[in-house]
Amino acid sequence: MRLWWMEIKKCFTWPIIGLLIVMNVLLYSLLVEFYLDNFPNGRPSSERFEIELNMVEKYGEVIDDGEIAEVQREYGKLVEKFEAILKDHPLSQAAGVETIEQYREDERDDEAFNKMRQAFWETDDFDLMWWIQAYEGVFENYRYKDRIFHGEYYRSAQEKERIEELLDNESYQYYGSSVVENFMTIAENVTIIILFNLMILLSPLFLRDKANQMVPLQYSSKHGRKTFATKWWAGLALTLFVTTFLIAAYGLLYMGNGTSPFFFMQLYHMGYNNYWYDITFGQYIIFVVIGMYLISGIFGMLVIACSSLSGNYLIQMATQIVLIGLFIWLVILTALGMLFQTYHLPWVVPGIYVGLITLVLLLFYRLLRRERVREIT
Amino acid sequence: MPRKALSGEEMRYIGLELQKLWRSPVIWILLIVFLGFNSFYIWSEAREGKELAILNDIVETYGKTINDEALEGLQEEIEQKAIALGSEQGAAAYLDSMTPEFYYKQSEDIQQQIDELSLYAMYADLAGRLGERYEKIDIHAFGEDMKKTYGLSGISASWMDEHFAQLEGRFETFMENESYNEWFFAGNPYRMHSFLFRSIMKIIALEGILLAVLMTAYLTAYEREQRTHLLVFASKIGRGLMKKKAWAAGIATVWAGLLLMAGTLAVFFSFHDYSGLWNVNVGSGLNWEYQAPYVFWWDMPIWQYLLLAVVIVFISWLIITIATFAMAVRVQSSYIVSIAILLVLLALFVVPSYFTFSPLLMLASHFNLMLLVLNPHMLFNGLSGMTGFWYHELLTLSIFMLLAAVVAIRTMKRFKRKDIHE
Repeated sequence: MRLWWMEIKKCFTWPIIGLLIVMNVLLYSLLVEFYLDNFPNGRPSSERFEIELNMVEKYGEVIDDGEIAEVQREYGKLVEKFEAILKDHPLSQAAGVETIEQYREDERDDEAFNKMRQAFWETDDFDLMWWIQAYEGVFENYRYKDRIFHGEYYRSAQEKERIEELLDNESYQYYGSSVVENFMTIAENVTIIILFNLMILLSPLFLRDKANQMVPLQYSSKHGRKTFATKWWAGLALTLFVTTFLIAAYGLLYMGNGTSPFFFMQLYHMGYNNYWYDITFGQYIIFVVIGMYLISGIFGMLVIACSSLSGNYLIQMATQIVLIGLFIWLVILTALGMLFQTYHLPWVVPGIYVGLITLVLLLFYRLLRRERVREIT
Repeated sequence: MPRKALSGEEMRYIGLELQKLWRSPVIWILLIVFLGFNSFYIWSEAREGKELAILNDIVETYGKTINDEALEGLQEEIEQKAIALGSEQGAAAYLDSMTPEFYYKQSEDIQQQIDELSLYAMYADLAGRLGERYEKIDIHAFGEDMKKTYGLSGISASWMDEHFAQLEGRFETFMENESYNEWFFAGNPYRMHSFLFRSIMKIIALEGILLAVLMTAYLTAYEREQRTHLLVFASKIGRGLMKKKAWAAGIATVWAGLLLMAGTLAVFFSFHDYSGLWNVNVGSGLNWEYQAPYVFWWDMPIWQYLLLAVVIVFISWLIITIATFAMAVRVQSSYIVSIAILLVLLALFVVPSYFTFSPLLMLASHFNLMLLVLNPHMLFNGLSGMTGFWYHELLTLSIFMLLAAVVAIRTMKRFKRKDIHE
């Protein structure tokens, strides 16, 4: 136990701590900051998000015709307000524009008109226009709520079945997809950050002793060949610690996006991706976090395995480059980014996890066996 | 003692150092993985060869310049093709009246002929309107827009003004010479310039950086990590071995880079036929991919642009090699050095975005090695935002080369009198 704790402490040398801090700051600003600061990203997305937040509070996750009519009345008020401005404003009077339809006409070769548009664009009056557009996005969504699933092309018979089931149950999409998309982007990018942390932290686990030619000494010590297992447990603990720490930190930051009213909403209400199961956004988040743990755990174990197999840092780093590339472009993208989506057959994503875990277990079984009978050189 | 060129003895040391890399399969495996990835990427993104070949045919028939003669000839060819397809009202009307129902009823052969005809018509249309499109470009307005978006004022604004005044002059000669009137794959939809430089060249550059950093750090820290440093530094060549290691690292970078570059470009050009286009001006009006065209600082043929991009990437690799070497001499741990250098490069890319508070600092931070390496499609392009200055590439490379060299020389001097210990 004491050795185990020593091994953990040994991983945090000052240079490594320094590099980890710098790397986390850089990767945070490169991969995550944007999606936290700019959610919802741009206009009219931010207005749309606010409208939808109100709708969730007032009407809940399912919206009916009466409720949408109520929203339409709010929208009507805004249009009236905007048209009042149009009637009042000298520039729009000069252009002869009184209604919103006239205002929206595309490219008129009319200087007074263009001047008015430019002026409105640059002043706060245009804020109203963003709201109007956002409302129209909501209505558009509502109008086509049952047509979203209709495609001529299904990827599989199961997908067709699932979509028909959704349609039969009237599981329509009422809300925009920005909330789920934003969460998924953050989840994927945080996982990438976790993998880089694990890579830097765990690579020296076995290599350092090997490079310092400590292994024969360790073999002849009292703890002997059990050192391998001790180190492995230390690596596993570190993996869990780093993953938990980063997920908790970024989870707290994510709460700042203010999407919690959506946690109890069914996923199919909020986005055009289809999922195999009826789960709420909150449940989905839990599953995604489990997926992040599994991916980080598998990756951490592979880094440790590489560390015990490679002879020097050159080999270790070259393997890590390939490994992390494979994880970013294959594993994270499919096993996390498309979790439960009907894009793949239902068994594909769980299959990836099971396959990878089996691989890791087999690898360590072989490594432990090898360690027991290894020649002392 | 006067300095000589490398003697045979010294060359032998370099060769022996290089063997350490030669003989590690991991470098070869990494190279093969990179080449495999690049080939796969090119294969998956490759443009339809038959469609591209139409432009090669046009160039073969009419020469590389777009002129009235070529346009007339092309128009005639189009009409003939339309007649061959059985149209009576002319090609334009024939294509206008094309409906999906009609198209899918035809045999495959006829469909192909229709596709060809519409592509010919697209090229004729694009080529005919180039002058008109370029007339609308207002360089001055671009400059004003830039200043507004980045909130430039004072020195930085006058810096920008001067740049755009120069660019306006350049654009005028460009318009006078009608340099845009040359055939190239249509920028929209094919975007071949972006594909070759923005995607492929950038990937090559990044892979090369990884290789250069790993190999240099490995070689330089080798003696310490193998615990042979006490022996080696006490031998006749002594600490002078480090200099040989620097040479070996440079040679290894160039060697790995050449394999990577040649292999990937060979795959690229085997998918896309550039024969007959090498002398086309890279600023050709057909190479207009997005809202703004490329306005290069001088008219250069495509082979020259490719060559310059390759040279710039190689010089960047060498700068990174020197920097890695300098750090590895000091730190003597290949692991820490590799990660630290890669993080410094990442920081170079990220940090300019922090400088929004000071336009001058932001402008200065755009003379940045990583921006150069990551945007090989924007080299020598006047309209590439804050990296558009005509001296941008030269100045950036000089600054970073100088910095790396000074650091390396100082480090070596320090290293010569450093205590050696276990």
